[in-house]
Amino acid sequence: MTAFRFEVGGALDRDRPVEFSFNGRRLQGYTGDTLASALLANGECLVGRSFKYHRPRGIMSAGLEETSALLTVGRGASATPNTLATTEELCQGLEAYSQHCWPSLRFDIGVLNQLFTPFLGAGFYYKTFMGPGKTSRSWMFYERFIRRAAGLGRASREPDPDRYENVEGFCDLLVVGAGPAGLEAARVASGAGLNVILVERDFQLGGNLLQETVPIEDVTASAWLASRERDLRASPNIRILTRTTAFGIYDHGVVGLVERLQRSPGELDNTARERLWTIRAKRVVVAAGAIERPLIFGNNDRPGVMLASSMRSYANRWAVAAGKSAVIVTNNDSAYIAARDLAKAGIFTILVDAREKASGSMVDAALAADVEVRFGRVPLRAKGRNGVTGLQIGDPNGGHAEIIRCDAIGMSGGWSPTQHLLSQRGVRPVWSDELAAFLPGETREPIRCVGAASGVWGNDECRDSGRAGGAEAAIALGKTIVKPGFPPAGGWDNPIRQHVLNSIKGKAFVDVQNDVTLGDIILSTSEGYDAPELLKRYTTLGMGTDQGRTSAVNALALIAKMRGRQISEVGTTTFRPPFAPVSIGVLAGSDPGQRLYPTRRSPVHNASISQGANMIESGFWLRSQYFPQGAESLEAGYQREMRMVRRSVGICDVSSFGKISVQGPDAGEFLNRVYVNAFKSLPVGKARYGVMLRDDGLAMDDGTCWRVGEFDYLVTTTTACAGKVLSWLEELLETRWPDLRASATSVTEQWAAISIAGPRSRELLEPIITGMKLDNDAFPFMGVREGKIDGVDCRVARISFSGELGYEVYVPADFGENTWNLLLTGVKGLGGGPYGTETLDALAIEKGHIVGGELDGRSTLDDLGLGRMASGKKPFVGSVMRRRPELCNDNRAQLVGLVPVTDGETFEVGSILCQQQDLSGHGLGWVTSAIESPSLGHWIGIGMLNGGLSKWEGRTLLADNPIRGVRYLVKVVSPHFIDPEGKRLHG
Amino acid sequence: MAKRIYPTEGLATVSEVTYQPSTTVVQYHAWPQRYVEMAGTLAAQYKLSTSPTPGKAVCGAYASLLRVHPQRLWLVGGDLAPDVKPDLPPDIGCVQDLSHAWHTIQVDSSIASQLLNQFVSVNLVPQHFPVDSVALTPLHGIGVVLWCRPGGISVLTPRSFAQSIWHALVETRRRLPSQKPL
Repeated sequence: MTAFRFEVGGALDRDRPVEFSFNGRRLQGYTGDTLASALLANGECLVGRSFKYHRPRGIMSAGLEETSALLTVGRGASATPNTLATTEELCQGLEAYSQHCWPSLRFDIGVLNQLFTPFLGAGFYYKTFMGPGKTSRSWMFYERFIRRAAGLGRASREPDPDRYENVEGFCDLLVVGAGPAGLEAARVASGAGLNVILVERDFQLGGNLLQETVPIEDVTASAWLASRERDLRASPNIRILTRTTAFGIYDHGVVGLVERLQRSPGELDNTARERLWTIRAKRVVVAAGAIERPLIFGNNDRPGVMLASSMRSYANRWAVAAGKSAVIVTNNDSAYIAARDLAKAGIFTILVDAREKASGSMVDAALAADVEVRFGRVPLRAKGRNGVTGLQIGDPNGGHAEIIRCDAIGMSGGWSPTQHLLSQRGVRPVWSDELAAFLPGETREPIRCVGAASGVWGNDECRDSGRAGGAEAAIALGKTIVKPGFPPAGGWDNPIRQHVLNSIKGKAFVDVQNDVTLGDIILSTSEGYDAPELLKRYTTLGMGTDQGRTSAVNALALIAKMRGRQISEVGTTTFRPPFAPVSIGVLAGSDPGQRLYPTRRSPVHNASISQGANMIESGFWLRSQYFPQGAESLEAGYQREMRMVRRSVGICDVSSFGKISVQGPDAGEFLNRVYVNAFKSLPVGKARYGVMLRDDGLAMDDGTCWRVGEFDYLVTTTTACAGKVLSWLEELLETRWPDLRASATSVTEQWAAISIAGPRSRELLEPIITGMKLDNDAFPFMGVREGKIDGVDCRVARISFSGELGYEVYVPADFGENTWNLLLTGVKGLGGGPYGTETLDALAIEKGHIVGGELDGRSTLDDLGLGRMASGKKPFVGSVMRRRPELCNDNRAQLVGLVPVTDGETFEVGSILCQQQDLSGHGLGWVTSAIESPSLGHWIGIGMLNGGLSKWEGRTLLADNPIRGVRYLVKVVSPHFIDPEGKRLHG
Repeated sequence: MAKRIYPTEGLATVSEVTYQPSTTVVQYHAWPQRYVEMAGTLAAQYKLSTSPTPGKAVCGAYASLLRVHPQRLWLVGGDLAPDVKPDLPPDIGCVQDLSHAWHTIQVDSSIASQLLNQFVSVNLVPQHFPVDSVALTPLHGIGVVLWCRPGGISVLTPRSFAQSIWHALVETRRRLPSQKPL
């Protein structure tokens, strides 16, 4: 028990005390407390420092609208910065720390910033660091100091130790908010047979009912709430999610929720910390309540200044007194209820009403509770530094000033319906002068705001509004039910007095979280930044974790006043997801790290691993890069493997190459249209190298195409382009030529593919394979045959990109490992072995084949030296566009070979090729691939060079890599370094 | 004869998530305007009462037909009887054996919707995804086919991704007790 905690009352479990710490001090609260209520109960009014000026800050609210009490919860890797003390459920062992203060909360060096207040007004950064005569260098220099001096909490640099989950959910009706309106909407809808999900941010259902003392339906609010909760939990077709925030609503009724699961450090170890729900709802009812607005007066950010309804919440729900003597300042009726309850709780309460008079039940109730009311007075300035010692009030013009001694100030400047979710759907709110609030605009989407979120203030009316919303949803989804009418917005006895602006004394904050003052708004508006979106960016108003929940309307009112317009004419900002901060961890999902993305494994993955393969990611695939012997480096490894292939034979897993089966009577015609060269006439049992162009005439991908039957082709692609090519073929078949009797199906997964290369390839294959002859006559280059390996059907194509005698062996994937092992045994017996992708590419580079870097979306067929492949007898995709003058320009970058001028010189991929005397601009070309060739004994490369071989062959250029600071001379040669006549290939 | 080696061999298991080896998957693709003819032919060939409507499967004695695409049917089952040869007249459509390309992971009905709805955006509760329902959907970013059968939901997954999906399902299954049932 503390001086601030009442002896009785509140929705607390006083039999279950909870130990926690704040800035290292051990404190005690109760089960049912929030961190904020427990801090207040322990007399901790000063909890943090402000964003820019390091002003002392306390607890300003009791909910998600909190602007000041942002704390770091947890330590080390588990530390979560910017946690709202007002929504953090107190749990055993919780550790909370103030942030953005040094060396301590009470003695913070950062307060020196206040000395520079005159220089830190709106647009400070723009004015100081940008514009004519100023360079970004000064910003680069000062940025680190500014960022250290300003800001909020700091995230841990350590990996997040918590676990998160993602779940998909579905319902007929999603109800956001479980106050009287939400509860009734859910009850009515579920009663009508709808499948309902009810979401509540708090850890208890009830919303405003949790602090309500007025009976509802002739029973106490708590009894009514208990009855409703019991009914809902007994309903089989409703799911209730507490501790869950609806942070975003998207197309087609998709709503994002975050459910907080882990209740205390170390507790429920197997439980994820948070769960991300993706809900698909047929209809949505938003019953998210309304947020009370602060009033603008001097020092309205002092610890002890709080929203009036929050003071009431602390008193009624958590049995905590925000002070011993309170002043409530208001312009509307709702504050009278707060004043009444504070007075009933034993807090001496004075109510200062900006209006000249007010009457009705709320006023009477406050007066009956001995609340002293001062009409026609407004707050001018709060007194005190680290807490409130008094409030100076006066008339709206600043006259009749007097100081009231108090230690707490409650503010009520009206209410803003929480319609952020609706706003996220692009629905513009409608300003109500009568209620001084934005009300939900019309929408054709199945979303309905009810209760206080629709501007209905009374509990009974909110309940009725929820009933109507639930019934409306049920009817819309085909249920037969009587639909009650929606109650009108409003519910006070006296009109609100809009936008109290008076003779402000001291620094008055419009956006407390971002330290945006009234002066900032006036300055930026006078400088022309007078539209909400501009003002936001110029002053940072409405940014940060609270996203303008408490500041937006006050800021709009100020803009309207300065521009001499109505608020409705000023416009609003558009709220975007998330409504409340969402941890990055929950967005990353349950499988961060290596399992964030799925991995593709080849059918011979395990067999490659067992041979010691060094694996490398290639897209989603894991491929063997090389097979190191001992501590062999990559460079040494691929050169050894290259020598092995050139001398004997090697095998390489190429299962990741794209494989697409194109079938049907029109398959040949289809491929004729897709490839630049002819395939309709390709004989069965033959393969052909082909290139596809895009519509714009630029090269898309290359590969071989095998004709395995009269109506059956197998298209192979590069690993990287497999998906793209399949999508392209499907698109062509479904949109351009739907009349063709052809089908394209990915069979990449169906086949394990092993490449065999080297002069002894035939020797390797002959004893293993049955059903085919391998001699040159029976199985010539680019032939395709079918046979069996170990009793399993296989396809073999005599294909080579290495320049050596080579085959590609395809077997059904589940037999891939078996086939690999057979070949491995054989290849080792011939003095060969396995090789990886590094060698695969290096062999192709020696032969002068493109290996990927050249197909960068800018190259034409002619650029790649493949122009002669293009058929002149048939049209094909890109055949017209490739003839555009710019694509036929002789000076385009074309494929060339490169060798160093100096013996022993290495190559750098990405180097820019320039004339020696003209090292400038983008140069003449660039190096795309480079290897150290063991066959030639020096480095070789291929690249793209303006004018190509015909212009530069035999000439020397300068290759410059400005990133690594390397320059060297290269000689331009043919890209075919090995066996240009193809003798070995056909051997 | 060589032994088939499956992508999930040797991996950790849980009782409700099982791998189904030797599943036959044969794709039938109908040419434009010939789907009805193809579906009828196949229903008769496999002695099925009818052909499946979109998003549905029709099950026979030893194989089932799944409608996975407007123009495509998949024949899915165990090893086909020796006298059954997947075939189709070339003027109606084409046939593609995908038995090694697609592998089946079976999730027991007791946890199927709870487990799989951590990954897929199809409502898998029995009222919405009853027996013989079929859906193509991304799971962990990978296109899979879900097929509801009397004992649970079959996840037909591309072979190269099978290990990743297996890991994801098994690991998630182990954590399920901490959750409330959906």
